[in-house]
Amino acid sequence: MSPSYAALMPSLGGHYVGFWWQHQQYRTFGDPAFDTGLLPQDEYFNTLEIRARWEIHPRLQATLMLPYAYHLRQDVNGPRTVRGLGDVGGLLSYTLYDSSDSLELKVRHRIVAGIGGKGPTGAFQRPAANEVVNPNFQVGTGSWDALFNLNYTARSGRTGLLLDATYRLNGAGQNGYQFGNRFAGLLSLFRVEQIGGISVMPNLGLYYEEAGWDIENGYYRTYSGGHAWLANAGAEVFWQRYNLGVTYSLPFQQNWNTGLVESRSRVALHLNYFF
Amino acid sequence: MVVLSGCQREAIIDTIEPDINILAPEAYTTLSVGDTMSVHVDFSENLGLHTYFIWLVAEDGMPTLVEKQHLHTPRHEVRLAFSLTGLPPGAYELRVMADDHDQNTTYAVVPVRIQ
Repeated sequence: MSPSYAALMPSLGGHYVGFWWQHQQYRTFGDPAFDTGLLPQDEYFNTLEIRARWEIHPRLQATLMLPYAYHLRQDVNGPRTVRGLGDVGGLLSYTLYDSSDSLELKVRHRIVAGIGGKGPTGAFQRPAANEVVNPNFQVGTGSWDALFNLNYTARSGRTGLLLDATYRLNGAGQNGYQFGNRFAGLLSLFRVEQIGGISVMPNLGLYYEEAGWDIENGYYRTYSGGHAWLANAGAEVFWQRYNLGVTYSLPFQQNWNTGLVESRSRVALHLNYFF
Repeated sequence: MVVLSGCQREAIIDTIEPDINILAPEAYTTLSVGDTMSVHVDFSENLGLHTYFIWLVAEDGMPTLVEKQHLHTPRHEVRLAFSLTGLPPGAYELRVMADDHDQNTTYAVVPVRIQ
């Protein structure tokens, strides 16, 4: 249930601005002891993000994320939507080690660490007492959160490996609700193919995410949180100053909200312009 | 889950059970086969109820479901009339169970007699 997603961003220098879109599907189930005839509810989370990166220094980069969210819940009473500006986030990344330009090394490495935050610019309504299964059906979290990111890329010839880990330390909102801390990790293998003036990077990966219990008025909501493993397949295309990327993700093992929420497929698309 | 939750501000797992107050029938009420039994139960829960069940349980342990509900509310009141038609005479218990979302469970019992 991550509003942002990581992508393969090879060590292209300079600034960029881009559109990042992500579509996620979830299905929520009723209690089988009571709601035997009730159909599950489908939820569709859409986030369109303007993302911009500013290269302050060859080793130091600032990224700004400005999301707009449009979520849809389909149940027996018809569709219900929430939409609006999401939580604005920022990340300051520092390249700790970079041998990607080396002509001597067979395997070249790059390690980038980032620290950032997210502000409560998106609307957040405290979940109603009957919204047990997915209080994430919101455009914001209502809290200031800290972001920590570690990104490692290894490349040998045309083949590479990416490890990306992001930890979100969530603060408490003024309404007494605090989302559980979140971890997301990506392991991806990619290959770079040159077709004329176009670079194509097909990639396959594993994505893991986990969320701790939410807290409400000093009590853990023990039926919140969970984890999921997803298989990723995607491609990045680079042409002149443009980068187009697409990722499809499918969960293969998960346990959200004590099994009452099922994560389904995800699609992500981004288009960046470098300058 | 515990690792991710461990870094958050101080919070506790709820261990407080729901409260059940059976206002009707009164203990040892005697009713006749074919009567209707008035059932009045108040529930309250510090964070919110999850489910409740109300049974009428015969001496041999055979339960008859009076009502059950899946809900999410800190307070709930049940008022209903339950038909005793078809039940054999004998000693019974009106047995009520309620739980919250943290698996804290409360039982309450009132003995009644059907003649």
